[in-house]
Amino acid sequence: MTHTTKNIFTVVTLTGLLSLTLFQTSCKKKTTTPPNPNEEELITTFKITFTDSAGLQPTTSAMYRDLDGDGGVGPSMFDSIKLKPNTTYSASILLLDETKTPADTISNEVLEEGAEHLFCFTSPASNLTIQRTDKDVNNLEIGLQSKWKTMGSGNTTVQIVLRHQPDAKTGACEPGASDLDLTFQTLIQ
Amino acid sequence: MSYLNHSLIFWLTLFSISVRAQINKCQLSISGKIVESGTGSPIPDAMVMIKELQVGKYTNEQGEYTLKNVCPGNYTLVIKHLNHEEKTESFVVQQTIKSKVIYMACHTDSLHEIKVKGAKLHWEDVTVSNKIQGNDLFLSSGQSLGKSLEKVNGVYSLSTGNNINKPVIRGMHSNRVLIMNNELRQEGQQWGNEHAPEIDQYMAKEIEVVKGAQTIRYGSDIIGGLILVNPKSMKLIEKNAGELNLSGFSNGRSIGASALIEGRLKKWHSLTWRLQGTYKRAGNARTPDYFLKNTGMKEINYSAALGYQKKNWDLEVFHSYFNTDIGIFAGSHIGNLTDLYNAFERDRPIDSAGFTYTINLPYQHVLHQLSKAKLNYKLGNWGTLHLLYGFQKNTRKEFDKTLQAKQNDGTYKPALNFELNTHNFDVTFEHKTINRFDGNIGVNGFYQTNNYYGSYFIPNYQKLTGGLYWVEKWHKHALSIEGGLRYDINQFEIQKWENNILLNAAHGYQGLAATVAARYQFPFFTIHLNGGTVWRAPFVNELYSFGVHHSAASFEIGDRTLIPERNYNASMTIDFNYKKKTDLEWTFFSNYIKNYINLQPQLPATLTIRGAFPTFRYSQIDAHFYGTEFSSSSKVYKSIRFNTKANLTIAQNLSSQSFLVGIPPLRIESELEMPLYAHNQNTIEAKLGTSYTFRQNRVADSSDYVPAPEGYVLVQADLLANWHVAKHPIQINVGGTNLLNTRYRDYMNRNRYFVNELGRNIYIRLKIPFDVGKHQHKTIS
Repeated sequence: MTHTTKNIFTVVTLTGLLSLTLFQTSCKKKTTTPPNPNEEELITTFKITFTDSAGLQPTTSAMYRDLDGDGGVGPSMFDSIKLKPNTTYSASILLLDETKTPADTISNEVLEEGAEHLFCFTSPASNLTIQRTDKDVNNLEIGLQSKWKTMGSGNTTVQIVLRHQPDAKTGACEPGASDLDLTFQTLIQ
Repeated sequence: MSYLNHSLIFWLTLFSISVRAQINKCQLSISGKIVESGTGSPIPDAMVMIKELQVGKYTNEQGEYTLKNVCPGNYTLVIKHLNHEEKTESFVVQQTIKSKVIYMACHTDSLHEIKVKGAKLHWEDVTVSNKIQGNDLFLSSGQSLGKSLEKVNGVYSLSTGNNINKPVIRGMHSNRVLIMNNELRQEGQQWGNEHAPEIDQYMAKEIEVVKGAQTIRYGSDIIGGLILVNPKSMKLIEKNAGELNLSGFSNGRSIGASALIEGRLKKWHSLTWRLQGTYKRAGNARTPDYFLKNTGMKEINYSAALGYQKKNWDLEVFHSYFNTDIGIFAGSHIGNLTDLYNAFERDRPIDSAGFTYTINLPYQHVLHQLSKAKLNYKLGNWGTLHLLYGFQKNTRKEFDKTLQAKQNDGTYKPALNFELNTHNFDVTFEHKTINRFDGNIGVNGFYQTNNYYGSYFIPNYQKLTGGLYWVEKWHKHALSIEGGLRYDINQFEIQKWENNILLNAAHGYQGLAATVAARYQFPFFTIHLNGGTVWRAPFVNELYSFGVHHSAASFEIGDRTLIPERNYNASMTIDFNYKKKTDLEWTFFSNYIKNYINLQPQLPATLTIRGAFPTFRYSQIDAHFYGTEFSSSSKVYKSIRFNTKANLTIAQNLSSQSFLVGIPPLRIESELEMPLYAHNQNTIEAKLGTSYTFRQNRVADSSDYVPAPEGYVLVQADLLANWHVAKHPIQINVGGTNLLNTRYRDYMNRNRYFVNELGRNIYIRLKIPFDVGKHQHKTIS
């Protein structure tokens, strides 16, 4: 019986030692504080500013803002785009992450990674044409800058989509995934 | 085969009684012990038979046997056991023979292993299980574990593309199916539909599937089923030997190579070792009409094990490393619902591609490491004590196609990034047979921590679970009964950010589980009955998930007030076996689940800067899963066999009188199996099979983005050769799946929204066992 006890001891010690070595390599920490979602890349704010190239009409802008990101509280601001007829505007898009102080300008990153991004503008209107005016390193359009040309009065919608197309950008809207997809009521009057 | 043994012994015993009645002069007896030649440990449940008299007995727990009422004469003893080579010994009986020790060698060569079909029962168990081993395992090598498991009737694969396959048992998966990887509860991020089990299929010697909640030995949360993936035991290693496995598939130009080498030290005979490694690589897969962009994969795995066997105890140490990169079909990652609908409407994906092995965005990178130490200690006459400790580290990084910042080194930051650490422990006492009772009593559980570094999807948490269980088995003659009772406690604490405040919340659940099973063996058939109740605590993703699921373009919201789900289940299996000619298994099951946690659609859709997303919320309903599984194998002409399989699961939402979504449809398979050549131990056999998967009609069209796809028929064929090259046995398989290059979509594949399934796939598999050195361990006799 004492022999058995001795054996048990040997075995338990052996297992104990083994487990200990395994623990040593693994148990470095419990849990860390999770990353605050407010610290990651997030587009909270979209702003498009229209400047009359001729300098006759006042500068106008439209904004979408959802400070707590997806879900939760809905967007606090979702403007309509208001333009004057028979005018050519230079449009400039600004993307912000306002959960950070100071706010992070995401549009700068889109510009940096211009070869992977493309803004697509779609409108059923016949009195509005939209053309991208900026180019990426591969001489393909990006769309952060664009030219909006209005004709007669009328109300319509404009869908603005930011496509992310890593290794796949050809200048077309497909393929890719949408980083942003907003449809603005557009009043031309 | 094993069933045959059992029914044979039943008749032989009857026969022996009648023989004994006639010749009452014969009072001699033969008794002794059956022992394993390598380790000297007794072999219980071996069949010892006197060939001439056609009488036999099984050895008891201590490996002992007694054959009574033998007349003087010349006899041959035949000893059979599942894991050992059959042994025959001739001897003369003139007087009673006592303590005749017979040594049996282990099965060292898998090629000569007893062939067990996927549908056969494990004879010593009261519960019903299906095993994939030997030829069947070889015929599914080179694939993912989830794909291999589809060989078992009633098991489907929940797929995301062609490389991510999760087993679905009787309509349930993920948190409701437990996978035991080399005796450890596999802990990855198994809550995710596109998170496949991180297991190298080549490592397994045997895969066992226990459908339904039949056993509580490993946990109380096994509502759907249990999968045991086991390598060969370290105790059974006899000599220095190895095995090389190679496979090549035409579709995706996928290759797989796995090598295993093991041995027993000459100097320290108690020490055994094993090394194993696998490499797999695949490029873009192809449907009948086009390639699938970014569907390649890469996998590098290895494992190492040491065993040490002494008279009263043995120790096993094991470590495995699993590392994979899996490309996600580019067209399936979408930013929002509009993208999703656009993708549905296309005939073929806009993301076109040719063939390449390169993996681009989006993709998954998963690393799983597992360490284990196990000690078995014989406590004299009391029984055996098993101590097990395991550690698993799972790192999962998922790279999305949507906006992600580039890191300093130019690589993308993973969208999801989890690190999961799990410490498993298990102490089991297996008592010796007392009055026909065999049993286990034990505690097991785990401590787990989860950390995330990417976007939020599930919170950080620390979890501690523990369970106390007791299982007893009793058998007499044709009747076996098993009963088990288990108490579990499950506690965890989570951390997450909410409105810029770090939230800490604690959850605790506890409950009882119980199972009863009985088996009764009639001359030509066996009946298994099973019933019980188990429960499952809500998982963190069900409580706290919050965010957009990119592959599904849905916004998922957890509910932190969920309570555990409780199941009440019953099943019956009839196993019929007639003269080796017909073998038939039929199961009926019913699984009622109170407070079943279900992901239900919710209005209105969530408006985000990326567009509107349909919203799903976890909520609880009462559900009833029921169905049937049928399989048969019969000899139709000479040695040509015809095999069939069919299974059906119906899942009802009792709370809303509707059907649950995502349940596999009815599938019927048939197969013709014929030997083509047999000479000098060289054999070739052919298999021709078709499978018909029906359309899933038990689901409302409005409950999904697109209606369930049409049913489909697939044809596949295999040639299997067992050949000897310079006296070395090798195994070769040539075959193909989807031979008619059928265009189809499968209801259980998430990519069915976007693309067709794979076209024709022709493959070749090779298995080459080899010996190392010339010093083979001799059998003592």
